[in-house]
Amino acid sequence: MTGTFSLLALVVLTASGTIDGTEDRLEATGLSLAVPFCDGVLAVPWGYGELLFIGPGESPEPFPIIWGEARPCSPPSTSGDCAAICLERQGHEFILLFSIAGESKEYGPYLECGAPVFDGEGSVWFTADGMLMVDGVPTGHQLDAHTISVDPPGNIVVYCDGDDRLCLLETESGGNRILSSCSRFYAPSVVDFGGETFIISSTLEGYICMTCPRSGDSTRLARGSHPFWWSGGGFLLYSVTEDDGHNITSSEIWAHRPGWLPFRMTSSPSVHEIMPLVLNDVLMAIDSDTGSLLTLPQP
Amino acid sequence: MIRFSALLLLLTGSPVAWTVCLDPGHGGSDTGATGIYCTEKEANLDVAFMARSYLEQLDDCSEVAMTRLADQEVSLADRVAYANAGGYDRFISIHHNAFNGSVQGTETYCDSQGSPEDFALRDVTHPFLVNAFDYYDRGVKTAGFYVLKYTAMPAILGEASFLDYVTAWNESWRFNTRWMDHDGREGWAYCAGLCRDQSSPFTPDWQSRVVDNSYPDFSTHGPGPWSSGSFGSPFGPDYSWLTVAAETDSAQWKPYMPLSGWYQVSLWWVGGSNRVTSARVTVRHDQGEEVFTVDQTQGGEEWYSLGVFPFHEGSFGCVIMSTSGCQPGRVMVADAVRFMVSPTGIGEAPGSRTGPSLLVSPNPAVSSVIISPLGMPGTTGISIYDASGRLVATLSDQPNQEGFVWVPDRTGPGVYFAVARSGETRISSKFVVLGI
Repeated sequence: MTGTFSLLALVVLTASGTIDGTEDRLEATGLSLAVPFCDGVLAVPWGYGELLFIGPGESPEPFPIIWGEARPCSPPSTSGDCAAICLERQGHEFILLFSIAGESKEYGPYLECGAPVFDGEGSVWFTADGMLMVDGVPTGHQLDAHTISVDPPGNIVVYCDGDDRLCLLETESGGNRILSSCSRFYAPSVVDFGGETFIISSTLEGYICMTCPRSGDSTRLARGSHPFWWSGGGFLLYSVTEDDGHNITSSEIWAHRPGWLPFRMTSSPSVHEIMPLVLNDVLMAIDSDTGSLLTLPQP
Repeated sequence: MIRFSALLLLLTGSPVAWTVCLDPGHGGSDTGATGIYCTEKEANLDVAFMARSYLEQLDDCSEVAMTRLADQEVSLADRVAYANAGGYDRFISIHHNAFNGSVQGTETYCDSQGSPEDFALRDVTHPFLVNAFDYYDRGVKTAGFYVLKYTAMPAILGEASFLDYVTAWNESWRFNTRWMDHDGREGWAYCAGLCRDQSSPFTPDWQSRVVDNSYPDFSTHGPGPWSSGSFGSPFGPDYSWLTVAAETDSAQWKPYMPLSGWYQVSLWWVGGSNRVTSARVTVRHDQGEEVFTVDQTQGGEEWYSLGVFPFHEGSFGCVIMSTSGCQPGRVMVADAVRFMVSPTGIGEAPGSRTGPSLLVSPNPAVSSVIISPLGMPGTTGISIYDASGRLVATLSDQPNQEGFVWVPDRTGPGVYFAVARSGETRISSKFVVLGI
């Protein structure tokens, strides 16, 4: 588990201009995975080819990390001006930690790595070869899951097991239990709502569910995908897409606050999929075909 | 889930483990293409299960996920988001075509703006799909299908055949009846393509069939209740287990055998000190049945051979594990059974089936059928009866090289029986004639 640390060239990303109606198009490919990063968006394009940064009012540009022969193989995760991503190089996988300033650090090599996530203290959590790791150090807990989420203090880790059941690991005691098996869950995320911790996850049945980590009670919040929990506003933003079995026929972004009726924020002007995210408390939609960012009205 | 064997690969410096997400297209109210005997959603799911059964035999394939496991509607957005969240190395979307009933062939797609890895996966998989059926090669293609564009990993979409094809035979009938291991061939083709793409040395023999506890060919009977567990190294994602309370609980693995022949039957379980010491395992084969007692407190987590047995083509044989004679309170584990072609060779019919048989081809038929008596020297003619038992034709002309030819031009579509006689021997075979 030896890590290497190297300084890369300083990267200056300017933040200027308006983000309304940006229509920059990617040259060759669209976006699969996008997360807010500083005042822009980090995104992996289709096919895991590289890592892009989309600054406000700017065209998507390759993020200037020296990859060597490596390629990203997970969504990026961000915390402040730091980001982490799983990458594959010469048949092995690593966790790359990097900053907006271009500093980087590696954990690995591993046979298989999961997607990294940050806790509230800025420590990076991930699975590697069936073990749960924190900052590259094994925790002693066995965990086979690609996507995990951790609460800010690092007390609980939620994940989906091989049968797509929603599971919870208590890091202090090592207690591991199935929270819910009523759906095929994926991409769980620990969120804070009114001082209470909840788990938001998607299901293959087409619903976004909210689950209580203590009781395991699961509630279907909405029908949709790509949930983005905006803790600042206490809203769930999500995509609602229609398809014909081969292609998307419509895409909309909706908002929902538990206890309220869901309402539509916007629809795609084309048949591209749009996904919600929040940048510096501004609600945005990213067009995953073109990489363009659209500002949404405040709910 | 990372299998132990995959971790061993890391330690031994062997090939790196890889993962795949299979995507059986359509489902629920979205049936996809429609054939007479099955819909596309059914064929897609069958093939995905077959592909998974082969992939799970590979030592370097550490996880096989599926976007749907049953006849349910899953949106394209969920299929892609599920695969992206799982971080799989490859994504295979399984589809079948339809047009006007007279077009047949195989085509494989990747995203037109895809990475070199997308194109490479498509190009190595396509020949295997073509060879699975030996239909017309419609070529490798590109398209902007959603599941190809938005998946983060290299992805392909296969359209291996046209389900509505009826001109010379009925493709949906072939799927519906698993004719000549039809869906198995296609499932193996996807597995072989992935192996080639990943430079895997582990391409499985396509005549080896594993029935896992999560497959449709597995069932449990009796009061139960059965639960699933994943302790240790189960075959596939988990195993089924129950605490013995009654003597009437049983688990059954009942595969479709693609060809008659001798198969080595092996059992996989996950052992433990609380397990039953005398699981009663019965192998029902073409010549009867044999009973074994398996001590599940010992061994496990590897294939345990029960022996080599003859099986006839079809779903006639099975393996049954029962609680009969087991100590109450102990745990019985039912995980997987493997049927592997014995070195004595496939195609060598088992002893009890070496007698005469009557082969009707194609079945279903449209314009003509060839009826071939096998192992019946001296057959002088064939009688054809309809479903009500009425004699509709007698074929007494000299057979051609393949057999007797019947053109059902005056009788119309329906179910028919061909009967051949030779001395004291009489044998019959059922077949279907479709409307033109």
